[in-house]
Amino acid sequence: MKKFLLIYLAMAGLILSSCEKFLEEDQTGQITSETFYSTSKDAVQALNAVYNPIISLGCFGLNYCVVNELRSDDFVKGAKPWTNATQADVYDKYTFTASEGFISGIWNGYYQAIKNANLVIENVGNIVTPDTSVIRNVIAEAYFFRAYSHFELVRMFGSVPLKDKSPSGLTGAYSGRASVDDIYALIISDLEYACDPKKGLYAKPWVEAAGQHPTQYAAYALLANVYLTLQNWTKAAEYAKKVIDGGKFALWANYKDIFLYSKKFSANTAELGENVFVFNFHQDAGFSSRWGWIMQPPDAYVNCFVGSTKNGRPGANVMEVSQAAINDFEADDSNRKNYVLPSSYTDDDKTRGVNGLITLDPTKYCMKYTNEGQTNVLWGGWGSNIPVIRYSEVLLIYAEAENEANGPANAYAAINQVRGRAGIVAPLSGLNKETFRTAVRKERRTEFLGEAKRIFDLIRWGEFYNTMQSIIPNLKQGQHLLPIPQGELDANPSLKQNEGWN
Amino acid sequence: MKKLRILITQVFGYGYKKYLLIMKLTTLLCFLTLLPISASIFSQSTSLSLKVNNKTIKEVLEQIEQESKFHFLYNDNYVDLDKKVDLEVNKMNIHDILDQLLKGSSSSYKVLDNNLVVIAPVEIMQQQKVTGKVLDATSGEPIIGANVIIQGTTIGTTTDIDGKFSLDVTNANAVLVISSVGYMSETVNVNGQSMINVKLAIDITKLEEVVVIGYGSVRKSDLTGSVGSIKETELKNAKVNSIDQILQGRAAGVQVTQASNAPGGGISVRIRGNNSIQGGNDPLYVIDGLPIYNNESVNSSAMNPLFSNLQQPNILSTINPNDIQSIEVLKDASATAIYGARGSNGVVLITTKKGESGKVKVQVDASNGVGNVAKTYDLLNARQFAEYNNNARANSSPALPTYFDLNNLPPYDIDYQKEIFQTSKIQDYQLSLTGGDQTLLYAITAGYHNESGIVKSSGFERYSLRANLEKKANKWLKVGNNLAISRSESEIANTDNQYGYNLIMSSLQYVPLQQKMDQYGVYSSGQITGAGIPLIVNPGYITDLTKMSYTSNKIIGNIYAEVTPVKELTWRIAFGSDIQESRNRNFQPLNGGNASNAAQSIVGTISNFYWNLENLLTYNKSFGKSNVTTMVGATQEQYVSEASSLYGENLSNKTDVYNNFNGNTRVTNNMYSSYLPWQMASFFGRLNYSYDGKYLFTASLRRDGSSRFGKDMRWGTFPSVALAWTINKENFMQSFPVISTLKLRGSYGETGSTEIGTYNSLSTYGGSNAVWNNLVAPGYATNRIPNPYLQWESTKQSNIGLDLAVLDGRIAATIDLYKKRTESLLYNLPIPASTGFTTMLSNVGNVENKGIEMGLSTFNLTGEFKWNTSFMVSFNRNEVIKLDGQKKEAVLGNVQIIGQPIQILRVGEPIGSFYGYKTDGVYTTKDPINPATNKFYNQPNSLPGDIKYQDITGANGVRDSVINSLDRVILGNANPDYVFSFSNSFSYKGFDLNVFIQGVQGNEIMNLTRATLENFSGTTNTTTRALDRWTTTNETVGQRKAMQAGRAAYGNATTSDLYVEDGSYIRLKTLTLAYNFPSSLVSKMRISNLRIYCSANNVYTWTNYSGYDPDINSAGKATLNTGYEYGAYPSAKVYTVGLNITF
Repeated sequence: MKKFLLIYLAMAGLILSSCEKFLEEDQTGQITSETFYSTSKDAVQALNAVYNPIISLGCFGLNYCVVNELRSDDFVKGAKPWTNATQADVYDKYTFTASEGFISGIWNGYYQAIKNANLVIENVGNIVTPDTSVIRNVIAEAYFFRAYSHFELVRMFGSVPLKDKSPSGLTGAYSGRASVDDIYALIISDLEYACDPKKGLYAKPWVEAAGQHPTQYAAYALLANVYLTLQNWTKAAEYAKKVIDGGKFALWANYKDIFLYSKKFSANTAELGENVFVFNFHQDAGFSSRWGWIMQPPDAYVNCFVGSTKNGRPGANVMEVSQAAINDFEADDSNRKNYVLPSSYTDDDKTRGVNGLITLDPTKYCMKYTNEGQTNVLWGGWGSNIPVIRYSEVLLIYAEAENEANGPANAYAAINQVRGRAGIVAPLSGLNKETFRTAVRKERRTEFLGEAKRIFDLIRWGEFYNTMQSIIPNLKQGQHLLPIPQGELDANPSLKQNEGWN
Repeated sequence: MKKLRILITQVFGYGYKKYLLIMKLTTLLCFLTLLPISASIFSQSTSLSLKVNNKTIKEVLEQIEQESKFHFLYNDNYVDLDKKVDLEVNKMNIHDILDQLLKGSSSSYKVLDNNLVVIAPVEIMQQQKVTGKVLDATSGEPIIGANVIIQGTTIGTTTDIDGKFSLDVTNANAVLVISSVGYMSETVNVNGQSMINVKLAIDITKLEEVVVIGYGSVRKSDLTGSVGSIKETELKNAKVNSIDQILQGRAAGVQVTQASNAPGGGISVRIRGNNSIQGGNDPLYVIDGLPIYNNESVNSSAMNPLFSNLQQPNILSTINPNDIQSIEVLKDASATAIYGARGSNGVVLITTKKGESGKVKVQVDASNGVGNVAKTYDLLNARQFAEYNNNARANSSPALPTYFDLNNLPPYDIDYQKEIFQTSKIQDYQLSLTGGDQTLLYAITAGYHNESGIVKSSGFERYSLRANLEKKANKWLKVGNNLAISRSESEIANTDNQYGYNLIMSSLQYVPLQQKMDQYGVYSSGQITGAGIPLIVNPGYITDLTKMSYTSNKIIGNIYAEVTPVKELTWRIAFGSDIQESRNRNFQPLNGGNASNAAQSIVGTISNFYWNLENLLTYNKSFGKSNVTTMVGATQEQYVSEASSLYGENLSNKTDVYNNFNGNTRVTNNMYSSYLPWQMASFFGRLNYSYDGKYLFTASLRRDGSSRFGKDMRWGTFPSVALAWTINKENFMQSFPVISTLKLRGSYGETGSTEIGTYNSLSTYGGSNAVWNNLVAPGYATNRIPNPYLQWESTKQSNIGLDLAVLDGRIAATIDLYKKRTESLLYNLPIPASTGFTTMLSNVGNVENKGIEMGLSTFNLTGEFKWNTSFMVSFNRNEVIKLDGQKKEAVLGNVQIIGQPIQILRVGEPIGSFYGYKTDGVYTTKDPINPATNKFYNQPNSLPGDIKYQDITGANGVRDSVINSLDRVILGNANPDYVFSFSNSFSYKGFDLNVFIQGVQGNEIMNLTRATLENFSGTTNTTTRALDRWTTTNETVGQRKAMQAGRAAYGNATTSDLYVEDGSYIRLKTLTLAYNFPSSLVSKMRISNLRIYCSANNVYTWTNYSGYDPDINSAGKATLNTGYEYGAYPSAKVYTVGLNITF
């Protein structure tokens, strides 16, 4: 008996000693932070993950456009929206609440991007590789995106939690709002890192991704936009000037080229054209945007496809361009207006429609983001390029900031370049500071119609309440900002709701 | 051995040691038995002469020893040799001398070889050999291991494999007591007979039943915990196709609900309520000591997202229920805590058939059955639908042109339910071979089950084999195995399911005016644009052309060795494994009825491998009146699950094309593969102590380590204690002979639940892609916030029970009261999204279950006409005690069938509470109008014929005359007040009849089938309730109006009390009548038993529920959304006839 006991005890001992090792989770097929970051390819994949939450439909891919355009005076709810009708209504009329799902989609998307950017900043530097230029670019780009994401959040929500570290458990998870000044300080320092000639983004597009990644100039341009928002006119003009003087960009003669799916990005700086910083969407569902879909009419496969009919999908008529915005186009704005707001469209399939009942005024649709150039489109696919900053914006930032800082004298060239490409024959001249200001504001409205910039312009110009209260009479003070998502308030007791949304 | 020792003690008393020094035991045995023959010729021929006066017998014997070669063997304690005698003999032999000497004393003698003379008490010397056979009174088969004991002594023996025994009886008038577990004892007067045959009747009171518990077994009388036990005899009457179905109504405290009535479909089993919100609530199944991992819900969605939307077959259906010998349901903590971190939800121990020593027994069982749908919906016919559609279009705002010309309707009028239902055929064949001898026991079984469903394109087929062997290698070693191999093939009709094309829903909604297919074989698509009828997938297309199947190969078994170095100690080592390979296939060809624009297919495989190494040491010893059993053990186990699946389109329209994905196939980005392992290591021990059978104590302790928890939280300890007092054994109870059992039990313990899936404590990286130049580029980032503190849910349970039996067990009752509190509930805690994550799986929240269970069994008649009754009822109350500290409730949006949440999780309410609006009929033209707006008061957007909702409260807790989300209230819940069963067995001569009734009372069901059908949009077919719809000419009917477009807010798809129905039912579940042919008749055919039977399943249901069957839970195993029904597979009435032959 003793013998058996001994054997048994020995065996039990053996099991005990190997127990902890036995209970380690076998992570075959799983990727963890210990194993993930080892080559420059991994660095690029880590960076790609920063893009994903932003370009998702919940964030920039759809919600961003609906929420920001419908809150502005550029767009109104579509006459016959056949989907997203609730969102169209509540954002157009400012009857949304903090629980409205599109808001949390944007909030979550940008914070996920910040988290993924922080992962890059914290881990990619440890990779040992000869491809040091890749590593440098990846890290600098993560700083760029951390700045961009915070910039979007602070513009939409005001003072928000500032996240400069990836989360470890719940440490720091319940942090409250940072001051707007602190957030802008982080944005500026991140962008200064991104455009630093020694460690930041290269001036030349990064060959790896053939021109779509932001360059040093994208960081300059974003900084210019940030300073413009902060009304630091000198700095805004200074950074816009750096982009203009860099000579890498030029306006495309054909306004249409800016948005076309078929317009590929190039590593060749001469072909960068107007793309300072653009989000590229794929035509397959899952990676496509819906900007075109929500702006286009529902009862037709509007001239989406060259040489193809009855493929892809019709628009959803969630939003239509307001008459005021249409009226701001000048009579000879031929190149631009004819593309953005064509006077008619070809209905490829008249039999489809919604119950065959709807006929719509063809002139109210912003047709920037068509499916033209896409082939073999899957149901739900909507690929197109959506610019965040294009060269014409850099020119107009310069024009606006220069005028505010020093008057119009040195600002004409920039604005006239934009107007000229639009097809407007007569260049601007002989304006004073105020009339130039009016001109540049009007120019921004027409040039960027449907690019979700108007609401931020109205806010920084101080024109938000004047303009919007004439449309929404009972608009409350503080409602220029979005409410903090209700779920976020519920989950984080240290946050309080924005003024106007209680 | 024992017998011998008893005898020696009796003969020689304690003084025998002195003599044994020179005499081996075995030789003595020989002497004793050979004695009558040898009878010592020497002793007869030797003469002695002797003369003594007033000497003790002892002195006389000593004198004889000196003067002769005789020696005497005796024990002073037993024989009185101090009597003084006078004796004078001359040349007499030793027999005559001793006869004279011992005359009048209580002693006698025997002369052995070597001139040894034994002197002992008379009764011992008068030995007589009795042999005989013990048989079962009913079957006439030998009873093995029956005890045969001489009354008033401890002398006895046990019967061998032929039921034979042989016993030396010292007194011709001795009385033998013959007993065996499960039989009534018999007493027999020997009366000088040397051959005694006894027949034992089965003991109906079953008091000495042995109950299997975790890692061991105990006599039922020694049980301290709450254990429900289902024996083979009860299993015989339950014709089921899956082992979990047997549990319905057969153990108190167990609630069994069908997740799908499809053959091989899922089932939800809840022991003493729902403990967990998000983790698993299924009991742990242990088959022959091997835990079976049965949590497909955790499994499949994580592993195979493409299939998470499809109905999951029931893994337990791959095991042949005919192989089961007994099922034990462990309920209280004393019983379950030995399974530690997996014991929270109760444990179901399944013991499969073992061989019995005796002659080979061959049993054949064959049955055939047919089934038909038990109930259908009454739907509108073609004309009624056309009127309804026209009405709905006319009522639209603005009015739509009507489409159907009632005088010129299409020539079709089809009830599509008839198109999908069929008569099912069920065949079941079982063959078993059992037997063994003293060293080898074997049970070999084979089974085949084939069942076509009552819904076309569904069915289930299972082949199974089992071999259970046990070999006693020598005195101290026993080895054995349990091995089962099975193959199951399910054809699945997509039902019960909110995703994809629910066949039941499409059969109910498909417009009766449409033909199934045209003359070219193209299925209609359902769409009639002019009538506003959308595309609905044609039910005929689904049943005829689509294919969904699940096949599975399973090997489950273990090998073990039991070493018994000394009698009290057993060391068992077992290695078990469960291997399952399964394959899912789904195919949808391109035809008119298909909503998509390409033939498409999904194929997937899942491969699971589980192993378990178990070491157990059991020690059992009695000290006087005390009995101690201790068990310590350790197990190590690992589970590895691997899966892959592919989605392809652009396929040919041929059904089997999923077996042939090729270059032309477009494989989209819907591809998955996964590898998910987990490990557990455990140490456990248990102490059972009983004193005099009256006072029983059990304590157990288990320590579990699981890889699925946070690094610092891997180990947990789960203790339990239990006490029981068998009051009927106390002396003061002897004056109440009517009470045969009275036992009070109490227990307390802690258990856990580990169902959280793999890697949940880690921060793993997941795909997060970008787009570059119109190409998708891979990206990776963390997809889960790490929670190093993640641990099991822990349940503290206390239980008080009482077992009572009176009239020799003819009436027996068991009552248990329990309270369970589950803490550290796993819950996806919403965390600030500014972290980049929205939820973190955390241990928050508490849930409480408390209840009463009662079981009553009576033997009403025990004569030739026998009648037994058993009744069980269990009450359980479930309550969410805490959610996550901050939140008091969460509206559950997981079920999106009607586009709105249907349930709420709220502190103070049970899990599964339905949440929505209360209605108050419909608005009529007589309702008051608000003069300020010229509209109805609370619902200004509503018109006559719209549903009127109740204004319950407003923003400040007061009614505000606005109907909004604040007016939602709890509308009921899915937890029954009580579940019960009532079973009656009758037997007379060869007939037996079993009537099994089962029911559930007081639960609500959210009938989303009806909610979908009765939205009265006029676009799809609906129930005949639509005939009672509001019209301008008839406002009193109570149903809302039909309206196709422009319905105002709070209209169609609002969760309301309209769809919450009482789910109570009483069901005559099975009725089985059997006839056993008399053995006199069948024995000529060498058949030992021939039984024919017929049974009816699901005979009749008393219920107010309007759907197919109230015994339904479309949520299946998912606890959060428990208790709704949507397009559920209907239940069938099944009639079966069968034949059972034993050779």
